[in-house]
Amino acid sequence: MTMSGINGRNLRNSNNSSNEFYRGMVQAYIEKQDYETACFWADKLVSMNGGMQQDVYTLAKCLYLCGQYHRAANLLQHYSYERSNPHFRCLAARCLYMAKEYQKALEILDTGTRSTQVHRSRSSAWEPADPHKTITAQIFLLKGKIYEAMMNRILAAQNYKEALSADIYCVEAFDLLTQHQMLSTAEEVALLESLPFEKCLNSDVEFLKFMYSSKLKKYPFCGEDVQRPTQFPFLAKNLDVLTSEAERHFYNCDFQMAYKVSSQVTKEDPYHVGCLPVYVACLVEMKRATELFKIAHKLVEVMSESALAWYSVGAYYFLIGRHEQSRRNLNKALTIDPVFGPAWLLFGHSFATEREHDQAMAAYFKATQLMKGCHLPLLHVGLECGLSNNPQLAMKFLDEARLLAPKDPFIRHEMGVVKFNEKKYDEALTLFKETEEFVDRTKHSGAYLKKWEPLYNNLGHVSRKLKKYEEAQRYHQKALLLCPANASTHSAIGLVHAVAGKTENAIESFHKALSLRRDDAFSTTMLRYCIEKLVEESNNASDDDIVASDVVDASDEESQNFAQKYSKKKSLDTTQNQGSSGKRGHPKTPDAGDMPGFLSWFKDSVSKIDSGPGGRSSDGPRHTSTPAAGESSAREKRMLSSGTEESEYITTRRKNRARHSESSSEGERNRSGNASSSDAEENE
Amino acid sequence: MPPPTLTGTIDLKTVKKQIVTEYHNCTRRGLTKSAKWLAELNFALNHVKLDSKAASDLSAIHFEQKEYYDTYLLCKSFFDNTEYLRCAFFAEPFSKHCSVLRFLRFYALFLDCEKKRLESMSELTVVSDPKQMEHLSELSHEILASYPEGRDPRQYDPYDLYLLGMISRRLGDIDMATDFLVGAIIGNNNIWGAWVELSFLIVDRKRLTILDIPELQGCWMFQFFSGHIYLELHMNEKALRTYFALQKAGFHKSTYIKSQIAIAYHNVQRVDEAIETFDTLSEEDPYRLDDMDLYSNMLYVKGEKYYLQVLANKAVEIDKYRVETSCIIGNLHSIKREHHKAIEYFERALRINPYYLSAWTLMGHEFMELKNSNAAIQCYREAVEVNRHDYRAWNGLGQTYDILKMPAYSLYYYKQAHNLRPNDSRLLTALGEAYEKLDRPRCAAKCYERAKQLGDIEGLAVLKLAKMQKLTDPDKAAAAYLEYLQEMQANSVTDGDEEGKAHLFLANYNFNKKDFDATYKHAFKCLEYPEVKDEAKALLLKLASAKETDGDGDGDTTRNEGLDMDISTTDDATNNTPTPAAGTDSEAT
Repeated sequence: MTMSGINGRNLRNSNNSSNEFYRGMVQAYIEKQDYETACFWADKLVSMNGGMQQDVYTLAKCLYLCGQYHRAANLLQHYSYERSNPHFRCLAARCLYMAKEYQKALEILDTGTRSTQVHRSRSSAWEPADPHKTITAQIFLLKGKIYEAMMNRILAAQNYKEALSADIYCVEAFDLLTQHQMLSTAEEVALLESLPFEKCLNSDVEFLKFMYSSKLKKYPFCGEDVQRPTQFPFLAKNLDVLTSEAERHFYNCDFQMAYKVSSQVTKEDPYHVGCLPVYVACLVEMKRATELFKIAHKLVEVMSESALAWYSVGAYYFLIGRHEQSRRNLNKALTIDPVFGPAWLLFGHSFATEREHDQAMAAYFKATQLMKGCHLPLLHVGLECGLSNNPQLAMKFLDEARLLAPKDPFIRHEMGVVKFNEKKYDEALTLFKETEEFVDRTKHSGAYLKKWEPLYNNLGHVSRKLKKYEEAQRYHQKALLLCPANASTHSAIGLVHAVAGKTENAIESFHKALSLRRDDAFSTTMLRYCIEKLVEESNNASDDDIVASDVVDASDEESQNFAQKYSKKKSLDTTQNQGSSGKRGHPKTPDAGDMPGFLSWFKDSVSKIDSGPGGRSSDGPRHTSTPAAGESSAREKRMLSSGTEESEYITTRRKNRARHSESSSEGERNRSGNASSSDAEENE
Repeated sequence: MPPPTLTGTIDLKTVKKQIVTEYHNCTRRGLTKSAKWLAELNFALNHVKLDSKAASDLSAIHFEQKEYYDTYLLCKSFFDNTEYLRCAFFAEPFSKHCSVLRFLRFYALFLDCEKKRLESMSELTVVSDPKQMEHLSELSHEILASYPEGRDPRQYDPYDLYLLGMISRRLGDIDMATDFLVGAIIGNNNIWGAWVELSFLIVDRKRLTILDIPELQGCWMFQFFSGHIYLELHMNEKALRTYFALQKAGFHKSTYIKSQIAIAYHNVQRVDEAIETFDTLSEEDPYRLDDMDLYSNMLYVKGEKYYLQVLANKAVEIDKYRVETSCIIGNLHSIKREHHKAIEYFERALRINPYYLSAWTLMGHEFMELKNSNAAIQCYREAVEVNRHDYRAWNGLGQTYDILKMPAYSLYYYKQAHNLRPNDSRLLTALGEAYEKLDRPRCAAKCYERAKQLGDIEGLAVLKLAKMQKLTDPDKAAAAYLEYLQEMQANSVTDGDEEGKAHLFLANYNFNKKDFDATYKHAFKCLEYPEVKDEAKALLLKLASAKETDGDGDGDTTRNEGLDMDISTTDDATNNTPTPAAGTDSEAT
């Protein structure tokens, strides 16, 4: 007699008890995470009992846990219990989902739903022990996930909602809905309202509500104070709660705080998937390249299969300005997870920084599709439209964005910029003023206000256009306080002074601007005009003014002369400008009211405007716009450079016309003059 | 403008007590420069004896908050070893409770910022890059945030206010900086650093009104400050008066006051007295390098190559790597006409301290010597950026642009210089020249006239004035020319060209006025100068014919010219006989 014979007899004899023994053993091995062993014994159980539902299920589960998805699916389909038993259906579909066989998975689920009603009554169906006794929620959830993977976001969202109403504790469905931006803010609120909280098993409705509402979109609350959970003090240290707190700080542009909180989370749990996006976004915002490098490295090492890891690598390269590499890494992230919205957004930013408007727009559009509930992609599409001189379209997109985030001041600000470009200064002013109200209302740290420096400059420009020079001056001063040593703000102030006839002050401001940016052609040109004007003024001035140190205030008449003189010159320039526009790709309509210098400079300023909001707002709630953050500075630079080009163009034109024998001071300086020796007296 | 007050006498004992207390406060907070200044001043008062109780009080000043003393020792030693970030890190947990530690932390961060700036500076410039600015503004926000909200900024710790003022000034927010600094000074009168910072903010005499606050003016420190600010603003007489008063009040031993007085002397062109003062100073305190570069400037002006060499050697012996030393050596090279080397040394000075004003200006002058106007302009601009009081840099800018044939620019810069020193005739003359180039004779004349009134140092203004008025106002021009000629005679100097022209003009002028005697006199003089000889001859002919037809009025020019040849023969004769007009007249006919 062989051992096996004995065993076989023994087994047959004590069939029931040994079945139970082995089942228990398999469960124990599963508990102990020894899935291979569990797999082995489960397989034997199936043979022993001729494929009882329970054993087949266990075996499939073990295979699933071993990561052998195809095998598990195969096994389940072989026994085809899934027709009758939803649990089998669910597991089979899950295996197929993991194996990326979405269509097949969907088929299995669908066949199931069709036949469920029929077979439900059959008592033979085995069910795993489960206190809740229902798997419908999971089936809906799985279906939603499959739809999402198949890019059918509408159906996916529907299924998630179903899952939630079937099982209120199914957080994953809620997470997927909110974090993947499937719903707009209003829809999110409606969803929260419609949740069947009465189904709660414990009397913890408040608790659940709090947890869910903390996951909602953060930007409607933009500007409100961040509150810590007071009702549930035990949650104060919970990482998820901290993460949502960090997100709120981030949306309030309080990057310092956001960074503090999120680094607290990452310190405790370095791979907290929910927190990492915020953390990465903060790092980009605060330009901490070294730390970003570190975390990206670690993530790639640890979870190279996750899109997030490659996304952070992309963000790092974006931050240090190597867009080519950045895009390559983002591509990697997108191959892993094609529906990873933030990566698309960053993709767009990296194109936008390199002035590839079309490609940027394409990437943003993609992000728009993926993040239906997020206003950021729309905002950026609008921005790009504005940049490529399509104000109507830009307004349309911005309007849409405003529907999604009605309280977001950045959208309003962008609208103001678009209006400004359309020369609708009154409207622009109202929009900017509204924005300012939003900004003022919030309690802000310095860093937050700094983000809004462009707003004040823009207010200054609009006020100047509307001939409110005092105000314009005040706004620019405020901008200067926020961002000191900004050359373009200085030249803006100089411009205001010049137009208001305070030539001396104008000269001083232009000097300051030039000391900060030596090759600023606009300031150079303006400086020359102002100095010439000063000479003219001195001719008319009384004797005392010449010798005494008083600042000569130009009379109104004089300032008008000034304006006239320039408007004449301008008309020439604008035509030239127009001629050139074709080549430069930024067609410009001739502008009746502007000085040529103003025109060029203005472009510069607007760009700045754009950059400001763009930069900050870019984040989606989930991956809060890391991209955007980094982007701001880069874009700013881009715009500035284009601005200077233009004004440079104008100056060269002027030179050619040789109206003034001396070329601009800068040019003159470059040519080393034939200096005579300075007076010795000077050396005293 | 506040009057140069010296209200009441200064109670030296109280002053001394305050100085010593303040000295401890400053050293504790790492404000070494202020501490040094105070210690020097205190030493100047060593004849003042405090009674023993007060003295023992002072020597036993302790750290108030014992519980933080350990941390303080640690942080201070890090600070002293320039490990600023380390200092800041360890001070952070206590910065809410202990004012000294808080200040130490913020000051360390501030110095760290400055240090980084210096290290990362790729090219010499004082214009800070935006990143540094960002750090600074973050720092200032942090300081403000360390106080509970809604607290009146005036109630802040004066040292914090001083720091905030410094940061605000760096950030270009002048009004804010002024408020902070005034607040700091009101909180504690004796922070010398705050006074000095405040002086940077008073860019012109109009801004002196911000000092009209009784809290500021009541203290003895204010008098030191007013001397300082008067000097900065080139109100030298007032500065001298203030410093003399302070010396009389008991600070006669102070080396600081002595050197300030020397600078004031120098500013009012009393170079010899200035040099003398510096000489005595360096005898008393032979290893003092402060302000010695100014001394070297004076020696340079006097052309004392030998003394300059001695001074340079001494400075190198004392400390090779001080800004002052580098400037002195730069001056030495400059006087030897080794301009490239001079530039090298000024650059070295600026590497050590990019805010060192006079090095920028001097470097600009050197570049001018090398005919590198581009670089010169850059230097002057930096100088003006550092300190808007520096009229020499403005003047340098004006000259450079003059050379570059951009008179409109140079006019602007000369004007700035003039505003700083309204009573400097040289600057006025330069201003006038600029107007002249821009074809504004009336304005130019105005400038020259004023220059003349102020006692024209170079003696050019009168002549220029005359030239300017030739066309517009012949009467005044004639007066000016006469004055010029008299001056030349008085100084027994000659400038043939100009004198000839002057005589010719006067002759013509008098001819038109029908003052034939005077015409004759001047025309006759003209014959001494070859350039105008021919014209004079013509005039003399004209004169002759005019005299003939006395009643007819002006002589006919065409006819006079026709007579030109004839009169040439009489040339020598007229020269030999300077007889009255009638005589020549007959000869000519």
